[in-house]
Amino acid sequence: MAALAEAQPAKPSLADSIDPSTTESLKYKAERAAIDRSLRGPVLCFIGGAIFWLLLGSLFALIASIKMNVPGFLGDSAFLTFGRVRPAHLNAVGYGWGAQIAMAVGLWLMARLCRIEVRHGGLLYMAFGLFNAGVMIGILAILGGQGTSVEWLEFPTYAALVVFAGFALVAIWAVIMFRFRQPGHVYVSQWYILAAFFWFPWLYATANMVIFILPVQAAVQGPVNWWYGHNALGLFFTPIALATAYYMIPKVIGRPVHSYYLSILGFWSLAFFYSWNGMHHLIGGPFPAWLISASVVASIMMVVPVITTGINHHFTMVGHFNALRWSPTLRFTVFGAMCYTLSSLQGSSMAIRSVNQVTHFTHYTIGHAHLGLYGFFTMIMFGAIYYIVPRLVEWEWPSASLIRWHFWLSAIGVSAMFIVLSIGGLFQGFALEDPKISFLTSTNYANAFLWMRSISGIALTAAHIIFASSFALILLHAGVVRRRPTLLDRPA
Amino acid sequence: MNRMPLLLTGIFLTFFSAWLGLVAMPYIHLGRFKPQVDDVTREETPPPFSGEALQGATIYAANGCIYCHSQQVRPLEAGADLERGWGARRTVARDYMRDKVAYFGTSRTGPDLSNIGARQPSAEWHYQHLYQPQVVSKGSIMPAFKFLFEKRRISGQPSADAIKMQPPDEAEPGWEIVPTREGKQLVAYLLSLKRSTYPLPEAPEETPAK
Amino acid sequence: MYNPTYTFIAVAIGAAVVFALFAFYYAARTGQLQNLEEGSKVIFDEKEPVGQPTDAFPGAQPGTVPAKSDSTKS
Repeated sequence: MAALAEAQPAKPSLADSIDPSTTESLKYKAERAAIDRSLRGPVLCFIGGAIFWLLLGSLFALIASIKMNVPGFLGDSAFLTFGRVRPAHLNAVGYGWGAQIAMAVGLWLMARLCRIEVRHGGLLYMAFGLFNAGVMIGILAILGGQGTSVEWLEFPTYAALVVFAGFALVAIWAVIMFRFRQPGHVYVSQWYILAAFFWFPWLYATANMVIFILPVQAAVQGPVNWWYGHNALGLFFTPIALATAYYMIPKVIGRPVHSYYLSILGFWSLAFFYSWNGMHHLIGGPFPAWLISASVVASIMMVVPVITTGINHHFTMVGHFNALRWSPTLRFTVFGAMCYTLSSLQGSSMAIRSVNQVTHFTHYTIGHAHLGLYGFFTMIMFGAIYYIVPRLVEWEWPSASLIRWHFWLSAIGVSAMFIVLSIGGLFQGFALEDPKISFLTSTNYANAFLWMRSISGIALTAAHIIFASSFALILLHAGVVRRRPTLLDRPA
Repeated sequence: MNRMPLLLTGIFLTFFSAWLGLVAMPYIHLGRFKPQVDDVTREETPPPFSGEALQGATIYAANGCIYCHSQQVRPLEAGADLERGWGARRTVARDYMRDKVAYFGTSRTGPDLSNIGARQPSAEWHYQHLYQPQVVSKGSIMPAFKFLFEKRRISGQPSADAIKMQPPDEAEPGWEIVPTREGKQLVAYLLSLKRSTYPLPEAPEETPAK
Repeated sequence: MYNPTYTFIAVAIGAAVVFALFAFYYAARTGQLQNLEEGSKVIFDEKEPVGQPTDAFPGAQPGTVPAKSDSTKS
């Protein structure tokens, strides 16, 4: 690394050439800047691709949501029927946005924590191309009537293979980066990222194998479907977002995590219990009781990692809540961390049979999914993007107001969506469980709330448009001309 | 780095344990059902699907019926499904042995369809319902599936499979509404959904207390 | 009904547990469970030490709230 420090030219936008630094600290800074530069192209591509799918996914969501209120809306063409737009939404935001942004942030964090530059970044462009081509083929296939209607696995096999190839390339690259890491302690975020990149290809391959490529009798598909569906969230999106929070919260406020011991306990209990989740999606279904009970137990045991992680995130913040006023990243991350605690505890409660009996087939579950994937995962990813992109493009975000608008529209939008779906879902669930109430009444109960869901969805879409504009502007180096990002400066 | 063996082993083993328990075990336990054969009539339960119905299952998947309709009947102690008359008993794993892909479903924005072929045995009802759901199910928010039908000019005799609609959905004079091949396959599939209308040894019929 | 694969799975789970216990014992013996809290500081260095905020709204110094006039968007 010494050679690298010497080779590092005093680029004014990066190296603090005015401040007389010691060689040692210059080395650290040069290292970070060099790592960021080596990742600039691929990571910006992944972020850009993810934002594209986020916008498209929001559009699908709005169409699907309005269709719940006005069944005839855009209803005459086959490719825009509700049953195709809804999975198109799920896959656009789940894979196009979610998995892609997880890869971008995971790669960046991995490189930074391993303190190495990424080598042969060209392969990552290939992964980017493959992954996005796969998602595009998959979404078009769903709209064209080739979807499989197996939830979370709607892509037909030919699209799934392309997605898998793209993902596997990134995962392999992350593992290789890890192997070349600088000596020193391996931080807990690296554990989560390494595990996520290892678990997800295994999950995805197993599910596609068992359900589509070498199909077995259909009864097996239910358990495998939900083992995949729940663990894609629990063993991929969750670890990546937790890794990000474990890095961003301490790093932004400049304070080590509350208890590193707890973070290790949290990691292992998550690995052990989350992997057994999923069968509680089948409570009451045509499956043996032992299978479902195993997941019910594991789901309730998830309280352990959730509480330990929650203590760690929230107690690190204690005494530093003022930081929420000055850090955009922290706002999003802390909001996400709170939603993690809330949605996970809610999730555990939903695995209890008597609760599940009411909520199982209702919009309550949809509310829970949005609290987890949006309130928790997506908000933490937004926070990470606000931290990462200025360091990659060496430019500041163009406007503080745009960031504030993005935050408040997203935060209020997803909270409102969660609340109305939960209340509507409970009305619907209790009506469904009372055979004296006609079925249609249960749907009508929910529908009153679905209007409000559509409105909160409009707020979220507006937030995404603002966010995408911010991203486009920073790429174009728009905004007030500054010689260098203040983020990379030392404070006055 | 000194902690690596512990970390990597743990990442592998935790996941592998769940893989064994939740993938391998169901694979063995639920993947090899055989039908129940009646000693006298040699009739098999659950009965096989017709080729047209199996085609219909892919239409069911392509149009995402699963996002509002489930295909599972919960036992008496786990929900009001039986009291709603959605089946004569709970569904069990063997009921799905004939399906290529089973659409258990997670949402009941629409009613359960496990036994829709028994509850609505008329093909005409299904055609009218798919063409304009509100006609046979007033207040329903199910979208119309008019793209599973074609409106064509009557040449010579009206087609035998033309569907009868009332105004305002009726075809103009001289025109008729006929289900497409996909439409017919979908209805064949729906009519064959009679998952828990017959008893199996592991699932006797249950009668909800009134 | 008995299926020989169950025995295999039971043995595999048992072996995994034994292996995990051994790995844990090995880790503890070789001192891998010592000084757990030290690890939390690896994300800091001389240039971005503990106590150094690293994020801010555009136009503000890290760790400070932007003054109204600093806001880049009028």
